[in-house]
Formats: sequence, structure tokens, C-alpha cells
Amino acid sequence: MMIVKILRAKLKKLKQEEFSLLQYNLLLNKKIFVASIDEKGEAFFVFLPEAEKELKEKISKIVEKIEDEREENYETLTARRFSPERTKKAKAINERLKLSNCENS
Amino acid sequence: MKVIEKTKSVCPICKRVIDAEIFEENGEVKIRKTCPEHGEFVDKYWEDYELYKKMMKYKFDGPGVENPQLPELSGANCPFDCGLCKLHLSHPLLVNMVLTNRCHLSCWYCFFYAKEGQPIYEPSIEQIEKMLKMLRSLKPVAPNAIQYTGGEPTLRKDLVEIIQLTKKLGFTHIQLNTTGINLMDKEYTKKLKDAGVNVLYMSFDGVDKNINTKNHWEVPYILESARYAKLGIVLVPTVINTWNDHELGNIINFGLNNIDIVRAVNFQPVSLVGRMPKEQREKFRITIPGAIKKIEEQTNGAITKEDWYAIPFVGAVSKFVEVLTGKPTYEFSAHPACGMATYVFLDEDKVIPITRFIDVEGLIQLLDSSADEMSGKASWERKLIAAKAALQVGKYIDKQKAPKSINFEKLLANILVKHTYSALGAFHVKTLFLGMMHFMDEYNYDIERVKRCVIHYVQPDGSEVPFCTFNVFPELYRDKVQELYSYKPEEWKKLHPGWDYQKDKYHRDIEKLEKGEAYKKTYSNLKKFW
Repeated sequence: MMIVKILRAKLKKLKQEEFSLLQYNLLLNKKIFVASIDEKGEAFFVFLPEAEKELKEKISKIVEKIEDEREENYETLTARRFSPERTKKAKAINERLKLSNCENS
Repeated sequence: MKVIEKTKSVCPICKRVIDAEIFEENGEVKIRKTCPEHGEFVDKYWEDYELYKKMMKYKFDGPGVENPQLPELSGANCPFDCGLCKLHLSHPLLVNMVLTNRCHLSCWYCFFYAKEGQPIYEPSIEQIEKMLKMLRSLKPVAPNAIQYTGGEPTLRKDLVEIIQLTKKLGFTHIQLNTTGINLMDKEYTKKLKDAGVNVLYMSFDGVDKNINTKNHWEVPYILESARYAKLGIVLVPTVINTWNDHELGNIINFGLNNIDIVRAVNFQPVSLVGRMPKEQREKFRITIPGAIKKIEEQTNGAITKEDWYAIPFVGAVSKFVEVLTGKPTYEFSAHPACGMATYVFLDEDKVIPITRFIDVEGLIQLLDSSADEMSGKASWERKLIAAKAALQVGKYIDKQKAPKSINFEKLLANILVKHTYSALGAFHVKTLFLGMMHFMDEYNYDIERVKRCVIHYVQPDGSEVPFCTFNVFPELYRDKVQELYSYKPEEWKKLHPGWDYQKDKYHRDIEKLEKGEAYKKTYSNLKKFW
């Protein structure tokens, strides 16, 4: 069983050029599986505990608030991707973005 | 210099996402971007501005995926928030699955196979089943086409079982991306065909043996096996400027000589992976219009640039079927710069591109307006409008110029009314499909293109990644996931007693292969169609 850590944080607002570089460099670490940062500074990370130090060091100067930090079984995390459960959540997002033409589905 | 579009790209050195401009210069389309740290990069995007303008008219946003695997990701930093995220604009039309990183060849330029002592990646049948089921659960349209790739997928002993499982789970199109070498075995080829493989997607970089060093000597025997098994082949040449760009006409000619079994030639202008100096990029770079121009020259005008259309050109066909049936259908919403295609027909010895006897633009317009007319109507009214459209198909066909051996009016009407795989299949039997698919690299990367990508990779962690994200940033997607799901060589050996790295490797006996009847028959006296 492999345990991964999940971290949600609010970062300082950066230009896309800056946060994409940070994101790319974080993802180069094979123990960081997800490093998602958006233009509002909303950040979401999934990583192995061994990568925690590096991750936190790299974002230390721009963290405004750690919003959620927890552990999860890697298999549980990936199982969600295979599960129909993801449908409901994403459907709402797609409806909001008007990306869906799902009326007949 | 005229700026055509603003987009996003990446710095080829540090990979940060940066603004980019698509612009016209001296009749060509180029991409320019400036990294605050590494300076300006300019590269060729498309060689023909006029053709670009014409094809961009057909660009449209697809329905995307309603239930992406990573809905929690923001997508703000495409291509680094991938897997898929909610911002992707197309659903997958074809999904690649890597079945192994073992290969029987060791091509110097390939970075995709396991070298001696490296971990072996080979998803289990349970993992494959999970990935397939996940794909079939995608909405609004689940992909029905899959390509098994590698390494060399035929090295897996359970390939027949995997194919059978794939068919059982509802995939109607299974293609095998292979060197073809193991398919010199006729009975094995038949087993694969019987299990459900629809087509072999086979590398073929030229007719000349000095160019196609990968499988030149084996191709004749593979063709024989394919004939025996009645399994169609798609020839897949990677096109590299100054290396095999003089072979394009010959490759099509080779396909026409074997039209009984070769269904298509799908050219892939080279993607310049890895860092490369500007002079080298200029030497090797060729894009779709450049390859099309060379085909026009090398076929003496038998196939011209006017014969080709961008992939989303057929968007109206999907729209028509979707409105008629009231169900979501496959949408070819790839970016126009990613792919073009045409069909050519053989009428005895004459090569006739489809555009010479079908007014394809008129026909697409008919479908588009019929779809608009059907929209919001009751089922019986929609069927009536569709039947009216099918009756009008004849107007768009010049019967004098059409190949005599095929009833096009019936064939096209069948596709529109039945819209089934077999109706479409009938279209392919007496034709050669010519495709162009240009995968991007770090220099010409355009996020507007990758967001519309319709060819994806699926991985055992449940992620699905567009082709040009998977292959341009292997360090973020492919390598990371494959390492997580790989076996160390000693683990692999334990699980497969008797296995040895060298035993996987193919050893060619050129003399023996060249002496064979199939070799002589295939390469001697090739008929010249132009």
C-alpha cells in the first residue's frame, strides 16, 4: 500500500510564466504526481511523503495559506479516476463552462 | 509580417508556458515566442498561408469530455495539468495504450523502448481491462478505437487474449502499431485478425532499402501474411526533410501497387523531439503543406494540394448523424493544422482523387444545412430530411469522371443513412486513404492545438493524456507513470523464468530475405502510376 499526501494551498498571485515554471519544476520530481496551480493562486498537490520537504521548500516564499493537508492511499486516489463517481462532479463543471452537449447522453 | 493568432506555447529550454504568436511571413505560417530567460524562438508552423486560411474555416470546438479523469485540476497551465482536465475541447477518437516497452529492434533514434537492464513496463491484463472500461465510460462519447503500441506489442504472449477482451468491451476498431516483423508468421497474423484486430499500423519510411532500414526486407512477407489473414495495413512514413522527403510519391505508388491489402498511407511529418540547434531544425523541419507540395511534384500532379482537406472538414458529417439519431457521435474536432486527408481511387491504371469527381465542399454544405434543418424536429421529420439529403447526393457526383467500378451514389447514401462501421468500411475497400498527421514538438507547440487533440494515451494510473503532451513532455507523464508500474529486471526475470533481454531481439538475415519470392515479387516491376 502506497500512501500519498494531498495538499491544497493558496499561493500568492503570480504570472502564468512564473507559476508554470514552478509547476514544471515540481513535476520533474518523480515523487510529485500532481502540481496544479492557477492564476488565482489556487494550488493542489499530490506527492509521496519523501517529496514533502522539497515541495514545501519550493513554495515556501509564495504560500499564503495551507487550506487542507491529508494523507490518502494511492490506490484509493487512482480508483476515483476509474469510478463513475467522477461523472457527477465533472458534469457540473462542464455545464458551467458550457463545454457539454450532453443533453442526449 | 502579419499576426494571425495569439496563443500559448512553452519555452523549449525551461518549459515555462509563454505567449506565442502565429504569423504569416513570405507566404508561410510561423510561430514566435519569447522566454524572459532564454530569448526568442521562431519556427515554421505551416508552409502555406493560403491553405492555412482555407482550412482554419473548418476549426470548431468539440464537446470535450464530461467526466474527465482529473476533474479537480484547474487546467490553467495546459499542458502541465493533464490527465485529462476539464478544459479539453475534444473527446478522444483514438486511444493509444502502451502494452510493453520491450522491443525486438533497437533503433538508435528511439527513446521508447527498454534498454538492457532498464525496468520493464508491461501492464497486467487486469490493469488493461480497467483502462479499457474507464475509456468506455467516457461521456458524451466513449472512444471505440484503440491502438495497441509499444515497444513492440507483438512481444506479449497474451496479445490475442488482450484483443479478444478489447472486442468484448465494445471497441469496434483495434489497430496494432507494429514493426510488422512478427507478422511474417502467417498463422499468428490470422490469429490476431480472428481475435479482432482491424488493421496493422506499420512503419514504412520509404521504398528504398537505404531509407527504410526498419522493415524493408520484412515488408513483402508481412504483406503476404496480411493477404492470407485478410488484415488491412496502414503504411506510416515519418517524413523528414532532406532525408526521405523525395520518397513520398514512391510510397503512395507502393501503396497503390498493394491496394488489395494496403488501406492507407498516413504520413507523419517529423516532430523534432529534444533540443536541436536552429540550423538542424531548419534542415529537418517539414510540415503538412510542405509534404503535400512534394507529393504533388512527385506524382506529376496526380495528387495536388487542392485534393486535401483538414480533419475537421468532416465535422458536418458528425453533426448530420448526431442530429439525425439524437445521440452524441464522434466529432472530428482536431485542430486543422494537426491533420489533413484525402482519398484516391484506382480506375484501372488511373489514379483519381475523390475531389475530382465529388464536389466535397458542396456535399459538406448539404449535410451542414440538412443538419440545421433537422435540428429541433421530431424523429420522423428528421428521417425525412435525411432521406431527402441522401437523394440529393447524386448531384454532387460527376459520374463521367468517377471510377466506373464503384457506385458512389449508393455508397455515400449508405454511409449517411446507415452510418455504421461496415458502411464506412465498404468505402475503404477500393480506395487508398492518404493522411497527414503532424505531431508537435517543443518548438512549434501550440496549446490551442493540444487542447483539441483527439489522439490520446491511457495509463494504468487512470490518466489519459493527449499525444503531443505525452510525447513532448515524457518526463511528466510517460516516464513517471511507467516507472511506477514497472518491474525491475530481476523481478521480471523471476516472473518470466528463461527470459533474457537478448532473446527478445530480432536478427535479420538479409541474404535469405532478399532471395525469397515474396521479396522479388514485391519490389521488382512495381507498376508506376505517374
